[in-house]
Amino acid sequence: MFAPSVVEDLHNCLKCAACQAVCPTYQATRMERYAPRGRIQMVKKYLEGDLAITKSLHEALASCILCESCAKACPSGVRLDRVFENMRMELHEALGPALPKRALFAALKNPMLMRLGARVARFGQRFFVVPLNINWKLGRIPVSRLPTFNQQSFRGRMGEVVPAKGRRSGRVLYFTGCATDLINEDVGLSVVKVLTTLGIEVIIPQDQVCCAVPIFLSGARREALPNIQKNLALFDRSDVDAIVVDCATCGGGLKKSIPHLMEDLGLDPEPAWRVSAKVRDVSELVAERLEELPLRAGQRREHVDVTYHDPCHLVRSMGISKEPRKILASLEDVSLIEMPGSDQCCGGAGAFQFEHVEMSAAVTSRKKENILSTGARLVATGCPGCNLTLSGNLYGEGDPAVRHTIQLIAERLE
Amino acid sequence: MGKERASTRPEDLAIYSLDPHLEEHLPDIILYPLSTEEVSAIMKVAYREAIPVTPRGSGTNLAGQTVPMRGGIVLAMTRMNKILEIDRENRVARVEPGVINFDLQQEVEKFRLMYPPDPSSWRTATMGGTVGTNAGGPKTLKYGVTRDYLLGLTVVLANGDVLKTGGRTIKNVTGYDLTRLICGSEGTLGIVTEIVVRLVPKPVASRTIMAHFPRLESSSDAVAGIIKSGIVPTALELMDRVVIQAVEADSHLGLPTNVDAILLIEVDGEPEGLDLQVARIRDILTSNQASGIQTASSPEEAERLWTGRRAAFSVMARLRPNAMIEDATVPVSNLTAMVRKITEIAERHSLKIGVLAHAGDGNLHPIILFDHRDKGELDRVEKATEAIFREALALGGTLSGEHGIGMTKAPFLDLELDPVAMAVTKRLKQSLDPKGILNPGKFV
Repeated sequence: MFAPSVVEDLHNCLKCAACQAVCPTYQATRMERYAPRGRIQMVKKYLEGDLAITKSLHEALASCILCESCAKACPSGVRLDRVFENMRMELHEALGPALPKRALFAALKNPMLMRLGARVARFGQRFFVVPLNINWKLGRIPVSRLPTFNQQSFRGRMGEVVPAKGRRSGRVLYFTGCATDLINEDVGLSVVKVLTTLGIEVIIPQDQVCCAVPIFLSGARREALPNIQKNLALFDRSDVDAIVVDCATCGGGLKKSIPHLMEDLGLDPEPAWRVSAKVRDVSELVAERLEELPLRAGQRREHVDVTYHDPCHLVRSMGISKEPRKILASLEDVSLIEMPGSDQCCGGAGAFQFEHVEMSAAVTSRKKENILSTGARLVATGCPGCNLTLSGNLYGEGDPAVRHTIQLIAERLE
Repeated sequence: MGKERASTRPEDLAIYSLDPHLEEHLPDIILYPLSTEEVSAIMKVAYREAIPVTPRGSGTNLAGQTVPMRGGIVLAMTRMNKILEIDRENRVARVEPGVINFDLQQEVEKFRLMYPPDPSSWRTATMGGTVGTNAGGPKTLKYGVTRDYLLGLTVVLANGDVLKTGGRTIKNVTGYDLTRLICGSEGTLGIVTEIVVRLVPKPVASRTIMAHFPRLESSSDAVAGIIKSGIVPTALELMDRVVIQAVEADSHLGLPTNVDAILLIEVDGEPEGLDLQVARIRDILTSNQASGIQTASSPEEAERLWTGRRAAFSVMARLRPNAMIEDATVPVSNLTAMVRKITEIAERHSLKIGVLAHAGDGNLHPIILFDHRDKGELDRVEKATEAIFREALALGGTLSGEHGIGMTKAPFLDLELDPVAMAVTKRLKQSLDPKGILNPGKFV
């Protein structure tokens, strides 16, 4: 089922191919089946009855990263990302998900199962990968470069409310996302430390679940609804100033694709839009109150060159690119060195890097070249997915480490 | 070639059936060659079997040149995308046809060099495509078009023979100028597989000036005045009333909506000389009733002045589902007359048409808005485009300044070429492509 407004949008495509210039998968392959114009015309022809759903059509459309570069570049304003999200639902309903994805969805829909999975993985990492020096690869990422799981879930560790330090100047809900909850607790601890230092009370709804972006971007839009509705019930609150995210993908989902999904499925989008209006990336909140932070610890640190990678979902879905740079530029011991193509995809895109290994490798290798050309010792970014891909591919001698922007702030706090 | 560089998958046939033109036609197979030898081998088979072959770069062309009208093979040249050589000493670059114009520009810029032809599609368009269409761009007025930068080509002929034209020297009068014959031939005479171009030093500085004109006539007088003064601007761009109003309504840049035209003028060169040129241009503008004259001295200010012009096509395109961009070109002295005619034609056919123009070389870009699903409107669009062609010719101009003939203008070719020119053109085509397998249905 395609939303009528999305079908109408297909007629706005001028077939001009301006989108080809910015598409990572086209640049990697130089074949138009992997270019936005090609893909959107396939969708049009499918809807007109000229193309049937086949494995081959699925491959062309499922290999899109959904980085939204094409939608930004389109002179006609065609929302290609939305077209592709609708089309993925068609493909999903016709073909069903592959087995590994089914297991992933089951986990993402069930926090208990996910926590159990995290424990098993942590056990495996500690007792097999490290001691036995196992060098398998997951996609292109050596198993030893995968992050370790948190010992305890971050949300459980923090509890429901973390009070502000000093006089309270605000109150936010913190949507932690699965990555911070189960893997990157350092990022979560940094978010809480910085916000509470600013006098912000941080509420962490304990029953929140996966944002469902990985589920519905695969096309399983209906299967994503229980997660979406549960989160909306918890986060649609009028007594908070903002809903903070530290993950670009969760943020982009809450900001844009979830309300769009509700609209497309003919469900009431209002709660999703209310939540959307309050969603803010942590870098936004911090950037606007930067001068209130006691960042003196930076003065005592050794000088470091940092480059910044724009996550697709942060720069395009959420429109955030200045704020993290403002933060980095304010750190006394940090020089921000821009890389060429900072807003180009890292090639990770969640499952994409494991399902389309060669294409992903080509996209990542260009990103890697651009990063290394800066000579920076650190890459700052704002997305656990990009972090996984970048740190998983930057493991050469002297390659830079990858951190969340908020971590760099937190460790310089007095 | 291997299975992975050939495709007959239905979705691939479907998307290689099209370019920005409205008409589409399915090919039978898409091939992605990697070398001159492969192209030659393909052409030998195609020649023997009389299979139509349509070469294609990024498919950004605007006259239907890459739609495979008779089916057959689409030769997608996009994977032959190596910059083979940048010779700084002789200021020459040698590239494969799939290299993107923008990528070449980026590379040569590292050596403070420039490849001037930069069509608006430069971020997407391939070098092969710009040779095939003899593409121009906003810098044409000062720097010329693609053919002015070509030194030599490698071309695979219809029968698979490999033709080498020209060389790598600027002066070269040995033999017929086959390089220029192939340039702009839209894949109807051969398949270009290697391109040698000359490069020029990148100008150190530039200045941008913007001026508003309450009356269209005074903008043309100003353009004529600037050209008469001996100054050669890099760009001399005009936006007409329809475009200005659309841009202002969309982007709120503070453009006046009650003027006939806005001119954007850019000059480049040594910084010292530029100030003098700017002063003279300002004088000419003032004496031609221009208002709101602004000069940018920093790149940021220049970017601000260019914002409206850069957004113009996009703003227009968003107003309706379809936007067709034409390229009728007239002698500069007839620019005003042609803009007026286009406004008249728009009214007569109840269409919205905005005009952008490279005013310095009389190259107009009427942007015609419509919805292709409205048959009545589509019919009026066809009538209006034909009327525009005829008016351009009546004013001493040409059917196409830079987009080419392709499918859209092929039926009108004999309006401009006299019977002798038509006959010579046909004999050339016949002698190089006797079986008519190269991009059939286009040009002649």
